[in-house]
Amino acid sequence: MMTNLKIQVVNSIFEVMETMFFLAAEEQQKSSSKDSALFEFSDLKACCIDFSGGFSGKIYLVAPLALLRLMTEYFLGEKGDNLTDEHIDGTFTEALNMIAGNALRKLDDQPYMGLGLPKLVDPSQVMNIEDYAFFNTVDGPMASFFELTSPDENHKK
Amino acid sequence: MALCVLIVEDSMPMRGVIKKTIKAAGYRTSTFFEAENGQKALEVIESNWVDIILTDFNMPVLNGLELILEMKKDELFKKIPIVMVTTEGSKEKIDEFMDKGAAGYIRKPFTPEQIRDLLSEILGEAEYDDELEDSGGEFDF
Repeated sequence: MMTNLKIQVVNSIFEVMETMFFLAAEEQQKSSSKDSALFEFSDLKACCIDFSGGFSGKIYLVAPLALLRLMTEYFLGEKGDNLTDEHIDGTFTEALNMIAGNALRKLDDQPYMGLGLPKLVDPSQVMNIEDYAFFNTVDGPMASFFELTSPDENHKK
Repeated sequence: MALCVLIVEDSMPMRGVIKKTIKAAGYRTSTFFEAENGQKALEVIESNWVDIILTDFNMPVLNGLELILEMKKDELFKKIPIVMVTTEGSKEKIDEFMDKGAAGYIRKPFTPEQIRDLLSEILGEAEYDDELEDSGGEFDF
């Protein structure tokens, strides 16, 4: 289940980034936060969303402000000068909402899983995670990981 | 006939994107109303004419499904077509939306073509903006 969920989250990031933000994302091979350039950015933002159903957990997304600003420009079709923090934060959390919903609905062997409301979290809380999936876009890096808080008994399969 | 559209979404940027997408689809619109949850949407339709509602499902206070259920209790409001625009794409959930009275649904992420096609299906061929007709109907954000 862990592997299947990770595959769906990664595929969902590709799909959402391309469809809604017109950005091609490419997965990096690195999986440790210690050797990723992403965590050298001083203006990182992070958000998370809860899900529950056959099993429960959280999906996180981490990206630098510069990338989020550009994603917001592409998403809204507005120049950066017109954008507020509310636009950027709202775009970031909505991106995660779409990624999570899109990934979870593709888990065919699971009963319905509901999503919570996406929210911003302190990026320092998630910088030492080892099991990130890292991505590169032409405009900057981003990363995602998930954790299961109430796994079903088959979650390790 | 120009459309009055209500967009119900807790994400302010997504409200803007849906609004732009409907415009890009070429529909002649007179007014866009916006609401950040189902409760605010009910307040909008209490005092404004609305031709169609596009609503998210997952919102605080009153979610999209609860909005449908509230509207179906009212003789006037129950005739307004409601489109779910949502990440909730499981068959089980979509069936529930449709059973409760949604006119259609669009899964996020979506393309402008998906919005246009569904609106055409629900509303029929509405009047299009001349500017878009001149461009050959191509979407241009």
